[in-house]
Amino acid sequence: MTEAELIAGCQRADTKAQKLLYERFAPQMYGVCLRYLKNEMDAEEALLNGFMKIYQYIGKFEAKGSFEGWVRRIMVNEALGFLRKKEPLHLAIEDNHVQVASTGGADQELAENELLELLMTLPAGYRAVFNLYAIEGYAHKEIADMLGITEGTSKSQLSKARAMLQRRLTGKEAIAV
Amino acid sequence: MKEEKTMRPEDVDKIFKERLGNTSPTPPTDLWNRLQERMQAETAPQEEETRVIPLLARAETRTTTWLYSSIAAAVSLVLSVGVVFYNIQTGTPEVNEVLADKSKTLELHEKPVITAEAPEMTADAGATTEKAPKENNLIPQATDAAPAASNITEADAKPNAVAKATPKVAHLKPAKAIAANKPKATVQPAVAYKASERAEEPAVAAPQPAVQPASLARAAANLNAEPVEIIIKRSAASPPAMASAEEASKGLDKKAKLAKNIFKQVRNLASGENVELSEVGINADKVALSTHIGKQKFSKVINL
Repeated sequence: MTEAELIAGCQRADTKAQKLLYERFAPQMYGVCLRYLKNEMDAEEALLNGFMKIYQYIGKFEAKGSFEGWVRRIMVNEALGFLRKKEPLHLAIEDNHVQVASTGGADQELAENELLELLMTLPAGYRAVFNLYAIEGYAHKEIADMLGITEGTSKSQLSKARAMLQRRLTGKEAIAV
Repeated sequence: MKEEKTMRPEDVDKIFKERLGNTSPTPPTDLWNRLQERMQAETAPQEEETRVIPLLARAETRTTTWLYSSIAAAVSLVLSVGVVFYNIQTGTPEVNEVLADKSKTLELHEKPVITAEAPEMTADAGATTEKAPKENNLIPQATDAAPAASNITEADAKPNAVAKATPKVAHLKPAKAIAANKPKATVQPAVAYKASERAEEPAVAAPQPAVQPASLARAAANLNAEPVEIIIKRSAASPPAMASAEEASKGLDKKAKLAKNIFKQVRNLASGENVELSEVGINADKVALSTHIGKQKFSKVINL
């Protein structure tokens, strides 16, 4: 089934098409949710809500951009909504992580889940901005709109998030070595 | 240490994007079931709503149909009650017809009988005032058979009768004229007869012309089936006319002449020609006639 057929099926509220859509996008979108939310339960909940919204508003999807981008945006928004509820976004916690002198650069050997753990050590606001900018690829303007902050805040939070991650990556590396 | 220095912020982004950007961890297997449950939970109220809407719609249609039927019933009830009361007040057309048949109409229809009967009545009664309206009854009828009717009047033309009849002729003529306009022959006489029947009583009591138009109008209104209303207005009173008529009726020749004139004028009226009321001894200045037959309105002002 092509993507267009899938969309058409979902627009008709066809259960088969809905399940296919879920199967096609759920793992990827689960990954998105997990990047934003510490708690797996929250990530699952965000995923469910995101799919509910996708099914609900798929009639409004215009085939202008990519469907995956549309789905992802919905998921990101859902995750951010959860983040606002569960974790105070703009609470910047001082990075008191003891920096360990790293002997090597951030490396390919670091597993995905380790990186994810690292990401989760970031305060919610930093994490959100970093996720949106570095991974999702949004501009600061967009991020500022999505989070209800200024562009300046978005930029500063990004740089802080980067710095923290950098330190931890090198620290990890140091620990690993 | 070198590597640490070389690691730029963009590198951090890159690492995370590459490693985490396209991760697709398997969501818990029961997540689809949960999603389905939630969808059913969400759609269930919608279904209930959709179920409710037709019920409401049905209820609305039911109420509207009930409303319409009740309105129709009320309207028909009011109409029927109105018709019944109107008939009670004015008498049904059937009753009128029966009355008309029972009285003189049947006899009047048959012209030879009339000629025989009318003189008898005038002779028996002796009261000229009573006879006068009867003559009037005959005069409009005479338009159907003008020569025969004219014979009647000529035969029993008493001075008083003619004198008192003449003003009434003026009132009855229009009635006949209107009747002549109508295509139905059976109803036409009924108008004339009814009018004349009613005209009898006021003629006895007070033979004033003012009363007769009213009675004529009433008589005309009696016909429910064909509401014919005739309004006659006379600007000048008839006493001088009567006086002149009495003068005119002194000689037998004059009487005959007058009778002939009357029927001539009646014929003229029936055929739509000009009517000279002065020729029949009526000197009223103006006679305004107006009537409604069906949707048509007829009005005429006759200068005398």
